[in-house]
Amino acid sequence: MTTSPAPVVRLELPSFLRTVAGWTRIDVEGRTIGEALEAAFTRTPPLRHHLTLASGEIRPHILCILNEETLPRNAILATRLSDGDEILIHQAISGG
Amino acid sequence: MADKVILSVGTKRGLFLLESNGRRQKWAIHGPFMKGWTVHHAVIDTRGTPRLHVAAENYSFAANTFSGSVSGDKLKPAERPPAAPELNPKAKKFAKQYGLDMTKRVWLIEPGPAKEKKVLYCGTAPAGLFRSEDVGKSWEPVPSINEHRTRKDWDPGAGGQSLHSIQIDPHDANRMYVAISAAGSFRTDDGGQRWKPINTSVAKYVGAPKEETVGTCVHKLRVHPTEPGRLFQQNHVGVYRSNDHGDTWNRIDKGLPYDFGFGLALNPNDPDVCYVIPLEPEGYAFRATDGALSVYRSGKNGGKWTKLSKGLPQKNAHVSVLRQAMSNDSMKPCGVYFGTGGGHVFVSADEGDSWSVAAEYLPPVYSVTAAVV
Repeated sequence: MTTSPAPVVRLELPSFLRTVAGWTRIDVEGRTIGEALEAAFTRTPPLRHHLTLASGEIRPHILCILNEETLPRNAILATRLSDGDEILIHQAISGG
Repeated sequence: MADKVILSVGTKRGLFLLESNGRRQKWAIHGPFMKGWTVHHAVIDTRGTPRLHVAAENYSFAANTFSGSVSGDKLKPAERPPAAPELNPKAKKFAKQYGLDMTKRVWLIEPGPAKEKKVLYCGTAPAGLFRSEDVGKSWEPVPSINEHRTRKDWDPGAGGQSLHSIQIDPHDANRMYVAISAAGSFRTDDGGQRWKPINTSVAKYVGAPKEETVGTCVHKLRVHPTEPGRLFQQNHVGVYRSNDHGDTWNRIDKGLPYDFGFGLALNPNDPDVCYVIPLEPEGYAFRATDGALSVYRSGKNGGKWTKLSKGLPQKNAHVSVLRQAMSNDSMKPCGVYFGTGGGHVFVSADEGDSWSVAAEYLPPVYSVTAAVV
């Protein structure tokens, strides 16, 4: 039995997280967003603390946008990916 | 004369570095660095090759420490951040009841003892002390203070429950002080194995717990760099001086317009001198007295305050100065510095006699520290 390779997707962070990661855009492999983030954390360990809680959940007030569609918080990590998908991490903004 | 004096200015929106020569008359402004981050505190460690350390937070992406060269543009986060402890149950109930801030933060970062050049300490909210032995790459909690027997009686203040002052005794590397709002000051004499509350004769705040050794709201604690045993604290209730490592305190605020304030600076060339900025506490506005921004300098034995206002705005300056936003340098004569909620940084190169503006219209200033490099 053969396993098909994981999709390659684009992960993009807000510019000010360059201070944490040293990059704002990378290509990573993952069948789900959770796997794609794990790949990013392997490459850049400090990023885990800034994107997730100790429980592994995505931090509150973080938006995850997949191909221009905002995902509900409780569905982010399990959302399945296809080759060429674009994941944008953003912060919730309010005020005026 | 020193080649350079650098002020690390933490603001609500980023970090700025203000640079001058030893005359401290003209200041170049570099930054903002750490765009998008709230910088609660930043300090340049001068024990070896100067190195910049920053305590920062983003509303969505959490708090951490960042370290790098003094250029400010290549800072790296801690790989193992300080994990601030939870509020004690009584404090959590109190904070919820009054809508107080419970956000986890790193409040300040400080170099360790002179001979342990890789050691740093940081303080968090909720109150916790953390130690790094690898120049800020990883942090470990200090349980002897974080799990102190009095913790159950530590209260939160309007700005949260924070460990906001860390002072290494310059004469004894095993002696160290921390201060916590709102609990009080603590001292270790054995390198952090045991901590003694040092709040005897310091006034308690209204509603303080019955626990005898805590229940004081210290706003800033500083150790004098040359006079053994000499400490100062600006408290929610008064300004105090100690001559015996904090075992006893003398209240020295008689003559000030208000006993309330946050910031505190010292003069390394004169152990009698501290600098404070009294603030109106009414309505929790914490503004400069009657719109006149003035620094006060203590004299002999801590009394005889001198009002220092030359060069400072004396009309309609309804700004505040926070506890991390005031400091001094190590030169002779010493420089004194502070930043305001209105985004101005004021400097004095003559021990407070006269003041000028080094920067204006920055975001609200949260911290100012000075390094001679």
